[in-house]
Order: sequence, then structure tokens, then C-alpha cells
Amino acid sequence: MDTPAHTELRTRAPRTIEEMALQRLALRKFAPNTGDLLGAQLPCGAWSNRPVTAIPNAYTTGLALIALANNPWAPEVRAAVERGFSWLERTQGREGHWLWQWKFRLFDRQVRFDPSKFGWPWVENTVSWVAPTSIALLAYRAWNRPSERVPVALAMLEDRACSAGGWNAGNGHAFGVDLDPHPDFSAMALCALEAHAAGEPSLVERTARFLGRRLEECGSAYSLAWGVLALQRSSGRHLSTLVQSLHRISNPNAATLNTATLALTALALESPAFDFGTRA
Amino acid sequence: MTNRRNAIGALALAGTGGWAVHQSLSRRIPAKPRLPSRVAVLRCDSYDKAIQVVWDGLKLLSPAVRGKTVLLKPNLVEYSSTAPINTHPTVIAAAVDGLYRLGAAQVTVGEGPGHVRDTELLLEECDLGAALRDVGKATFVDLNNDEVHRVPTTTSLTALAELWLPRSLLAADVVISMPKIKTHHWAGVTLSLKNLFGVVPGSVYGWPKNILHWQGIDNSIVELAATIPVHYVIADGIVAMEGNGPLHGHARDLGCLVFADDPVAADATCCRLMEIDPARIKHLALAKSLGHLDAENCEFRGDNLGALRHRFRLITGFD
Repeated sequence: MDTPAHTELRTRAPRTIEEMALQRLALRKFAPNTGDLLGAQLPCGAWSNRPVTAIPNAYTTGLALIALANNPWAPEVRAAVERGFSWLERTQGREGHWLWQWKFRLFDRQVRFDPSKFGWPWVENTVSWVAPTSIALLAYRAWNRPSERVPVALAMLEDRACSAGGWNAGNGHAFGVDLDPHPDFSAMALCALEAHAAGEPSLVERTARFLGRRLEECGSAYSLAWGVLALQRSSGRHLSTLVQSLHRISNPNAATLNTATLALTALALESPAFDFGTRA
Repeated sequence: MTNRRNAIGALALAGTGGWAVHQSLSRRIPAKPRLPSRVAVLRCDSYDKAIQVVWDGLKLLSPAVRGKTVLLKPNLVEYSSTAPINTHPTVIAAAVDGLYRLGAAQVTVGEGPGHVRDTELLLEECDLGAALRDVGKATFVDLNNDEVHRVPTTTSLTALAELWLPRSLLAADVVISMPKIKTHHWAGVTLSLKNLFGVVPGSVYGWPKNILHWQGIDNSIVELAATIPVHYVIADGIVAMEGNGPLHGHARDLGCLVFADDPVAADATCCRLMEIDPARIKHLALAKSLGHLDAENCEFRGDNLGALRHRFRLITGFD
């Protein structure tokens, strides 16, 4: 189905690799093209979200790999994908190193997490966070690629969940306080767990409940779109309400949405909604 | 006896080493010769009165904004219906209005929240979107997603030789930091200098901007303060936060707004209002060459500081 989001999206020139990858995904049936994504890959195999900075970014690399999995394969795609996964394999949150694990276990204990369960950082030389770990996990699933990193990263997501369900940027508990989840990070992590058929059923259920409740009155197309993309597998109860809200918000306002939000909206309004963990 | 002598020797060595490191760090920060700083603390016990008090404060501060582009950088972190986490929208809107009245050519409000990617949702939930629409003429820019430019850092306090910073920040003639007055579990306080973390773009460095934490929070704060010119400060202390800030502390009525033309002097004044010794806050002690930490070098206007002081609780274990 061609929505106003699709129509508007065709007019946009992406400014970041996140926008480019999501745009390519949303328009994969209309204007398949991966040349620009391939051209933006860094020599190390990663993608930088802002090409001008050339700073490798795991979140963006995951998105680029998912976009490549869903577009027709040019002969050069396979080599680019190999280099992308090679970078992901050797890039990990700092807590993955024994020295930092020791620091977090003995001295730096205000934020409660298990440093032996790690995933991917946004940028190198930092710790793992929920969004880059979730998107990298979805890239592994989209390419059906086995890796020893996958179960460790899935365990990290479970370890970092908020007690009420859902996720925020990185931790569920700090300085003696349970932290609140955020809709987009919760949705990304839920997509990743479900794509890998992982996650405690009660955590999945609590997260779905949180998303349904949190997004009920939400006026932001970005969070709503992520909510729809995440809830399509786990919950039919809230899904139709969120889809209606997303139509209501995005249809008249497509021209004012940023490109990433437009693309996520287009993906969420596909029927059925796009599944990040599968290859078209 | 030998053990005691060894222990005293080790302590002396550690103390000398610490002093030498501090001197070495301080020397890396380019000193800025300054006139006495202007600081105004104005009593304001309710957000209903904020529009008038912000205008009074701007008149006392008389910022040089006529014909200039101004970027207001408030502190928007996360939405909470109960905790005073963010700079209050009434104060931000009043500043926009006041700056236009003083002849500013363009006033932009810019923030790049560190924990939240959905800035649009945050703007609506904390009512800033509505407040800016009411004022009119104010545009909001999400600094996390703005165009970025490379800027060399200036202190070598961190290993970051350069930072990619938002065009809206770099292009503004005048930058005004608008923090919420809060204590902070890592940095001691979060005021106009710590507020600069929000200009570092998430679209380059991620959410949160964890690269700054790994460079040392205090060093990163001073690196940013030395690299980014902050011309004025308007700090929201009407309802402040004590204890486990910046998110989970307790609301504390401080009942004032702080205006200054020097971020170091502003933050030192906010510390004194909270009965915290500014020299005890590592990033402020490090930043003393960027402004006036000592009250003797400030010209105070407005209300008497002494009458507005409240002892704020820092998180247990902060030293």
C-alpha cells in the first residue's frame, strides 16, 4: 500500500546513513537501490551515521546491513556485507574486556548490570547500549548469520531490561532506583528478542503491555511507528489502535516528519508491518 | 613506627602527585582574561511570576543581543510528571520573548537530549512545544540531528582532538545556557557547564553521549566549556533538585532565577545558593581559568544571596 509517507519519502534526500538505510528499506518495492549505501561504507567495514565524520557506528552498520538484506543483490553486496559483519564481530562494548569487567564488578557498581553480558556500543571505546545491540542483532537475523556474539548480546538485553518491562537507552537500575523504559528503545529490543525467538515470555509480555499503554495517547509518529513494528508479533490487542493513531498523525503531516520517521512510518503501515528480523 | 612513617610518606607522595596532576590539568586550559562578572540572583517563588522576573533579570544583565542570532540551550533530559528534571518551559518561553524585546534578530531554542531519541515526544510531554508556539517566532532545533561541523578541542584534557558540533550552535552569535539547578550523582552539580553535554550530537556519538563519560565527566565538561563560547546564563532555580540528580532527586524550592555573563561565576553562585562549596566541585575547580569562581570577582545585582540559600543534599558517597 502506498501511503502519504511513501509518497513524501520519494522526494527526500537522506542526510544520514540511518535515514538512507530506512528509506531504502521503505522504498525497496518501488525503487530498489543500494549503490549509495555501498558507496558510504568505511574502509573498516562499518558505516558512519554522518559520513563526513567517518566515525564507525554499530547502530548504523546494523541498519545498513538490514537494508542490504532487503534489496536486490548486486555482486558487490556480498563482499560489503562480509566486511560489515567482520567489523561487528570485532567491535564490542568496553565491558566485554576482562579489565573493564573487573572494574565494573569491584569499583563501579552504582549502575546494576552484568558486564559479562555485552553487545554493541554506538561508537567504539564505549560500553554497550540497547539500540545498537538490538539493531545489530536484527542484522544477524536478517542475514541468518550465526555468531557467538548473538547469545551474549541477547542475554545483555534481558539483563538490562527495566523491572516494569521495556528498556531505556541502557540500564534498568542505577543508584538504587529502578529506571523508566522508553518506547523506541523498548520496541527495538523487543523486535530483536522476538526475531531470535528469545526473551523470557513474561518480559516480552510486560514490554508489550508497557508499549501499548505508553503509546495510547502518544502524538509522536516516530515512537508510534516503532511501537507498531514491535507489537506486530506479540500483541494484537493494542496494534490496531496504534496503527490507526499512526495513520491519523502521519497522513496529514507527512511533509513535516523527518526522513527517518517517515521511513519508519511507511514500514509500520505496510500490511503486514515490516519485520526487521526477516529478509524479504 | 616504620609502617607509620611509610604511610605518612605514601600519603605525602600521593598528595604531592595529586597536586602536580591538578596543576598540570589546570595549565592545559587557556586562561581568559576577564572583567568582573555580572551576576544577578532574583527571587521568584512561582512559575506564574517567571515571565516578569525573567524580564527583570534580562534588564539587569543587559545582554548584547541587538540584531544578533541567539541560541538558547535549555536542559531537557527526560519527561517526568513529578520530578523537576527539565528547565521549565515558562522560563524558556519568557527568555525567548525577552530577548526579542531586547532586539535579538532571531532566537532559536536548541537541545540534544542525552537519553531520549524522540525529541518531538519530549517537547510535547514537557510542554515546551506548546510554550514556544504560544510565544511565536521561536524555532526549536534538535541538536542531536542538526548538520555537524568539525571543531578542534582546545584543552587536551580529554583525548578528543576534535568534536563534531551542531551548525546551529556554531552559527549563533550569542549562546545562552539555561540549566535547571540540580545536584548530580556523578558531577556533583549540573548547571550551565554540564548543560553543554546536550550540544554534542547523538547522531554522531549515540544516546547517551557515552564517549564523554569515558573521557572523564569533569574533564569533558571543561573541554566543552573551553571549546564552546557560552555568553550568558539563565538558570532555573524556582524549583530545583537535590540528591540523586539529574533524574531521580527530590524537588526543592530554591525560589530564584540566576542570570550571569560568565558560566563559571553563574555555576559558582548556584553552588553557593545550594550551600555547596564550588571549589569542591571538580569541574568547576578545573574551569576556574575560564571565568570567575570567586565571589570577590563578581558584581552581584538583584536580591541578597544570603536570604535565598538552602542547604542541598548531595547523593550519599559523593566526595
